[in-house]
Amino acid sequence: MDTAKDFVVNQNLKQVLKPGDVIEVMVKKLDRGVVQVQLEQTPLVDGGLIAMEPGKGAIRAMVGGYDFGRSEYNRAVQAHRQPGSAFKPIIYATAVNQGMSPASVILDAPVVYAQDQDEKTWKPENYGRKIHGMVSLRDALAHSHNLATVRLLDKVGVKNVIEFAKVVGITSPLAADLSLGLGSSSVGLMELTSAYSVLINQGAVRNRTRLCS
Amino acid sequence: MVSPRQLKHILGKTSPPSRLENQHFWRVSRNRRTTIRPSRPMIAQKETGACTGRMEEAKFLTTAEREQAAAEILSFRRPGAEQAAPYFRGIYPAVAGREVWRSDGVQGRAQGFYDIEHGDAKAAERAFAFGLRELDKRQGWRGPLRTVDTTAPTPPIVAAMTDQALKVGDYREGFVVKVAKDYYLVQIGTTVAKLSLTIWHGRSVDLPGWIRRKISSSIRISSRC
Repeated sequence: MDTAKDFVVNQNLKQVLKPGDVIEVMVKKLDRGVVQVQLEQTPLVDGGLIAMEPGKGAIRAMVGGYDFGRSEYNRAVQAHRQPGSAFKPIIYATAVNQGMSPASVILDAPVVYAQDQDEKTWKPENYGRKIHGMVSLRDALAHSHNLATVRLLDKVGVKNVIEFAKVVGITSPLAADLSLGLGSSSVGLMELTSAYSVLINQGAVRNRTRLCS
Repeated sequence: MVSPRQLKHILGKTSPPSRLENQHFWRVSRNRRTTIRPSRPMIAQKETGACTGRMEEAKFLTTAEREQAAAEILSFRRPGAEQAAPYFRGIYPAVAGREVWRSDGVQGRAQGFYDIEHGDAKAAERAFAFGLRELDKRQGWRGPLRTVDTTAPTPPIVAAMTDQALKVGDYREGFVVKVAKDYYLVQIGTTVAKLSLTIWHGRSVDLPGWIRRKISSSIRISSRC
């Protein structure tokens, strides 16, 4: 006899699927002729991946999208996106390059900038609108504090950061304003991966290669 | 028997005639090395058509054989590497070809060479696809792909490759044939599989959140299965 709980579960299942519904599943278990599957769906979201061997600059793996048959557009090398906080290490590396250390402190507090073009102001905020006071560069980068990063960018100079970004492999044009601190300028995945390989190589720039051995 | 001159006319290169004595020349032409990209099948078909056309003119092929060759599906991929790193292959052969050209100074048609670790590429593709699926699930389930009539006299066909043997980890399309008390039966090709929505990531849990968002919030979810 079905219990009330079973009935509820049964109703749920009927609400989700009915006979004739075509679904995508993944085979989870094959055991003596019994096949167990799991409900899945093909993702609509897409992206790209590059795995680089930093020491050699060799590209070890590249994935330009979920399915080459669905889209040949290679997001790993053709797409440009706003990097967001992924751009912050370049700003902090510029600061270290100018003589600051990871232990140097900077203020993470609200700041308002007047825009030159009009009378509007720009007031960046931290994630969750929290304020952390004086923080070390190490902590500011680790916790991705926006306010500290914008102040740091203002201190080291936007032009210096852009120059440094070019040195480490960013070739896309970067906006020469403080929004660069929040990663507002679009870059390619290959450029960003190359820049990160410089960090892991302790500052040595390797030319990336397409040929691996 | 083909003379070297005729062979050059047909294939665009010379080769010892004895090597080709007992072979079908259209197969030779079809399998010869080429820089044609797998993603550009029209160019491959055009070149094959021109080559077999010249062979027919030279009386090495009958019209039926030429048509048979034209009807065959061309494959320029090495066996076992069909799906490896398609994006990498799509972008880099030409670039790498120029590099080889410069370094070796070889005269002739530039070829694309690349050497990618297939194991790494496969692992990256799997991990990337898994990550995208998990990311997509945060947006909730979009519902069934479509609905077929299971009572029709002709069995519904829901996917092209459903007759292949199932393996753990395969993604397939199937259609629901029965809704039981706490599971579904799903037909995948000729196999009927059990789909239990109350098991998620190996644990007995409620309906997964990404599916639950699809159904009405007024429905009670059992505390356990």
